[in-house]
Amino acid sequence: MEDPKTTIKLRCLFCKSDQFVFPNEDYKPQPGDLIVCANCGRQNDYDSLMRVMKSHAEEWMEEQAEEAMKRAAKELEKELKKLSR
Amino acid sequence: MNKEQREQMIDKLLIHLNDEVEKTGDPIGCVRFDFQEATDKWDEESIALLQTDAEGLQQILNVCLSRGYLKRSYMTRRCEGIELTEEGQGRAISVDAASRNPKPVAEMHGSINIGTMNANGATQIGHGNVQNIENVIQTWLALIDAADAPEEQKKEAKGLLAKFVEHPLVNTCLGIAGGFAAQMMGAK
Repeated sequence: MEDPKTTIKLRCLFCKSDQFVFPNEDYKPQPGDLIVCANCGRQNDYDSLMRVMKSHAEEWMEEQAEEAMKRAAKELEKELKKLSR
Repeated sequence: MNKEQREQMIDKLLIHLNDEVEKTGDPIGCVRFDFQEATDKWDEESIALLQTDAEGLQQILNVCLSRGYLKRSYMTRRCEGIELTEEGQGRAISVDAASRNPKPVAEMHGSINIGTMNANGATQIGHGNVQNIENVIQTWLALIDAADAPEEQKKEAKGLLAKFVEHPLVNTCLGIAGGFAAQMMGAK
């Protein structure tokens, strides 16, 4: 089975848009920066955006782990049934 | 309450709750808030802060719960055991930081990248080009004035133009000073 992968986008804390205004295409936001949302124009604290993204990533990882455990339990059950026959 | 007032009240409430969380030194999931739902004993502090009534506070709490800024720590329909979420704390920190440091990252640099922009005529975007932008807007205003349309429609078109110029993002992109639109529309 392939390793599960996902993409989590930074989303504006005010309107959930994933479009932001950057000074140039190569710009990499720094801790402490305030980033302007391209949809609502409000300023987002970059550190907070990263924290929210991290918490979503953790939630996703927990879901994946739970799914993997369920699959493993089913497999184990099958194997045990085979052995008991 | 209109949309703008609602957003301001959400900001105030989230900042207030985040301050309370930070006072304790605990992470957000460990601090819970009880908003008493009995109409005669609502959370007086929050009502005073938002300058609203019990119904107004309920409305704001519902919006915050619905948008994921707040969550209930256990299954209930009541406003008890409410926790601040990462989104809620993030919004509170962003609003607080923006009020102390109103210069966003895009404004601290000389130019701005916001994707594709098309314009007819020699229009430039960026700091130092405000005069050019003013000229374009003045031309639009003149065209609206010269249009063969009822006064009411002209007024509406100018209002929309003012709204566009006053939008915070347009302000940020173009570096137009606050009140510019009002100034221009007033002149016409």
